[in-house]
Amino acid sequence: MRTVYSCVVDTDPKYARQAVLWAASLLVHGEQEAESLVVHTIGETDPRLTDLLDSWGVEQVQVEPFDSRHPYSNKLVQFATPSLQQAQHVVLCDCDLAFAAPIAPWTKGDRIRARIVQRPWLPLTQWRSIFEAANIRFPRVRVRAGNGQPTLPSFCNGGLYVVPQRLFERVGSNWCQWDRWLLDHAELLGGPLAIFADQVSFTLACEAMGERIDYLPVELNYHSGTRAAAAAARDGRKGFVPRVLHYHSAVGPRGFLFQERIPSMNAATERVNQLIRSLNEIFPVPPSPSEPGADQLSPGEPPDMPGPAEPADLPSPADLMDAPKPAGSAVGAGSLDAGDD
Amino acid sequence: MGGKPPVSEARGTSVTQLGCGDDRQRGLDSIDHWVGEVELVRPPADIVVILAPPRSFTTVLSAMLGQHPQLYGLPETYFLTCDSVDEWAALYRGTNHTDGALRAIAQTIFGAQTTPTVNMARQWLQARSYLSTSEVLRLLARRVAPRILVEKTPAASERLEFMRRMLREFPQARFLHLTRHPSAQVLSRLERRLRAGRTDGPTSLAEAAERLGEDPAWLWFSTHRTILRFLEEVPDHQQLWARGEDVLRAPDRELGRIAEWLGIRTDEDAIEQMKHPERSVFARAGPRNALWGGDEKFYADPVLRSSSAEPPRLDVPVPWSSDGRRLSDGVRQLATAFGYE
Repeated sequence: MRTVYSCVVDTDPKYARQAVLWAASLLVHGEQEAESLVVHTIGETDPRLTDLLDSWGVEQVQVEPFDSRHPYSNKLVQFATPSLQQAQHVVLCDCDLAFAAPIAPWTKGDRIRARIVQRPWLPLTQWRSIFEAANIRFPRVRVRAGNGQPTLPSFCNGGLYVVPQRLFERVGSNWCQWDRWLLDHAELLGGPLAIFADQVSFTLACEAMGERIDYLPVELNYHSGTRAAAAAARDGRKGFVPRVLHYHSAVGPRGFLFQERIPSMNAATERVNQLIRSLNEIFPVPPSPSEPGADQLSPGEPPDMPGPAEPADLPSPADLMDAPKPAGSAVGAGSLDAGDD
Repeated sequence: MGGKPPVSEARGTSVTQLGCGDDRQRGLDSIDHWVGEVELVRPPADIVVILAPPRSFTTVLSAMLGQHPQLYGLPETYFLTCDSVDEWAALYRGTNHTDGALRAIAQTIFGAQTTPTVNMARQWLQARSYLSTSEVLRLLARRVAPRILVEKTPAASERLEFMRRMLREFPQARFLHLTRHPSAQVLSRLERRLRAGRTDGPTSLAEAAERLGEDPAWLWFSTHRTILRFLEEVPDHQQLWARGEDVLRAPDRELGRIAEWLGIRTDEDAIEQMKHPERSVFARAGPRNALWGGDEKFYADPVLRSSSAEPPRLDVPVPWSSDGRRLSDGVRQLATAFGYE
């Protein structure tokens, strides 16, 4: 029995690149073996990605989108994969994660593990409406989100979940059921907040099952380039070292992760950027029409050096209201990364 | 030729020759008898280790064995000369002794030997610096399974503690004791030094020999003596002796014998594949950041050459001395025990 790490890659070239970093970082710094990794691909896959993952021995599974209405829900297709069903623990990942250290001490236990959201996003009144419509008892317990505001105890960041085998099938069926239900009742979330459907449906599933969450510390799903470090410091947790960087779009044009304004947080980023330096030769960053080409430097970005230490705060809900819908599936970091909290 | 060279006392210079022709045949018979007797209970090998001093055909033999469908030949990793990766890195950092290990990791973990994959291999190893070298070898073994690793690092044959570590860490290891005529081995070492073309290097065979000390054949003698001492502690069925010259001169017979001893395929196709060391992914120089890991002469022209296997006589003056010097009595006695004349 083993732990399996899994992610889903959509067709946008940037997700392929993210998946390469995800897999490489797990092999190198996550101390995983290729047999522990599964990459799910949707649509036409970049043959370079297929060849590279093949050469590393990483299992690839071609899947159909979960629901065309909500690309973020594509992570739910992973519950149908046999190698995940057989694993002792499954780590469901967004593909914009980079592992800077192993997380084996947290892939244990009988409960789901995830990190509480950084922001509550939904007001409690809206939560109550959703629960009433779903006919699920509204939880009385509140926990503090990363920013200190109250939220529901199973409203977690969608970037990384650890699911034990005991619950895998049950979580899968409940989560899928409630996700489809929520997509059918998108008005309950309303407008741009619909991008949270997978996270809200996860909350519904957990409450319906009566399952509690074992919270992962911030270092296991560390939003690089955000104020996550400040939030942890507020909780009295200083001097921690990020193990898993959830970088969203905090990436320079050459693929390097942005560094923090807090130097002590940067050791993990530097480790990952060192790996990115090698990956840039194997699987170059796809040029983006809205950014300088991969071979061009942005101002302040020296050659072969990590990107500028730009703050990359999550957008506020107001920002999201004006944000465009993602053009394609966005299981990895997309234009609406914040939808993943 | 049998599983052991016909030497009863290999320490000091009191080497006793038990015979060449008949006794070698008797040894072979005893191995055959053993194979037939315990075939059903013999556990599979967890690694095959070639024990020999340097310049003893280890690179070509490792490449040949590695072409067997059930084996995987590594370059020189130097892993088994150290307990931990930390120790290994401290000892060999900045030398080309790390090249073979990095090439092996790049190839097995990252699917290719290129400059970026070697860099990734280096990071992979750094992340595992707390592991023992045996654990790293086991990780590589799992990656190439069901093929069995063939490890050859002549430096690991020089000390009893290194070889004892091999047996302790790999209790089912198979040890292939490889010999080469002492004059040919010394000559090969000297020619290598001449070929190196260093500005401070020797300019003649005699000078190169002088730099090796009073007896240039000492390394040959002491290494084989140490190997024989170690093999006294190894169960008979886990050891086999082969003369490199015989392997090159009669590959079908000798490779078949080795395959039979290992309990792996002995069919014509398997033997034929082993006769193509040039097909090994390690049969040539590596990328610029990990060039070596074996015999550079073999890398330059990695084909099976029987002509290079003609051994000189033991009783003629050594070619690196102009004063008619011969091999020492101890060396000649031990070489005679190995069947050299």
